[in-house]
Amino acid sequence: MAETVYFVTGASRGIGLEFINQLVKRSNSVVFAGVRNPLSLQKHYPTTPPNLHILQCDVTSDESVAAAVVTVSDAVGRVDVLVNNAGIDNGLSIRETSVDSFRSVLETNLVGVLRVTRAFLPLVLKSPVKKVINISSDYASIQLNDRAYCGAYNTSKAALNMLTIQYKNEYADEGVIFIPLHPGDVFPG
Amino acid sequence: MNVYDAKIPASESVKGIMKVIDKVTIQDSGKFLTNEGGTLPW
Repeated sequence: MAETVYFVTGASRGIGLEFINQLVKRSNSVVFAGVRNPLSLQKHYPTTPPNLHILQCDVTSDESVAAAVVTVSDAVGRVDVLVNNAGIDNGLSIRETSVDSFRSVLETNLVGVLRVTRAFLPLVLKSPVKKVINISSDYASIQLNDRAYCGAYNTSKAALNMLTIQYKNEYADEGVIFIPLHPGDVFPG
Repeated sequence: MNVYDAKIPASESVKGIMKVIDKVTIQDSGKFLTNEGGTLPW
């Protein structure tokens, strides 16, 4: 079977780092790890496995994302599974959240996913697999969200869910699979 | 990541997510899924 090409954003810590750890162990995988600062992931991999490629990819930067697309395109020409994992949380209630902080959370968690998905979809469309996994949260659920904190985060993830559905509607004919995915309630770090 | 309600390590989360990623098909597109393979309400 052909190798599977993964691109994961926010790969330097938490769930993103764990994705990299588990994916590189798969013998038939090629893993592109997007991180704001490559050193933050390289420190976990003093010897880089042959199937791991660490890329500078800041999801809030058009230029950075565009450069990552070129690198992946030149190396393998497609992405089988795109994992939009990069996300931030200011930890604050909405009443404590400044407009600038709110905008910052949405810029990474929502606009960042749009930016990366727009840029990488041409490579996803070249894959026979065509999976886009957007890391969401159970607190994205209007029905389930009952907490009086992390207001910007919860809002960003609810909007991310709708963005994911919008993409699913628009790319159904091309066979692209879009999944908003709750990763479970995970310990930090 | 809901750090205030932490229950499982990232390794366990991703193990489940990988299974979900491996098995989803076009019929699953747009479903709000969990790391355990279940669905969540909108």
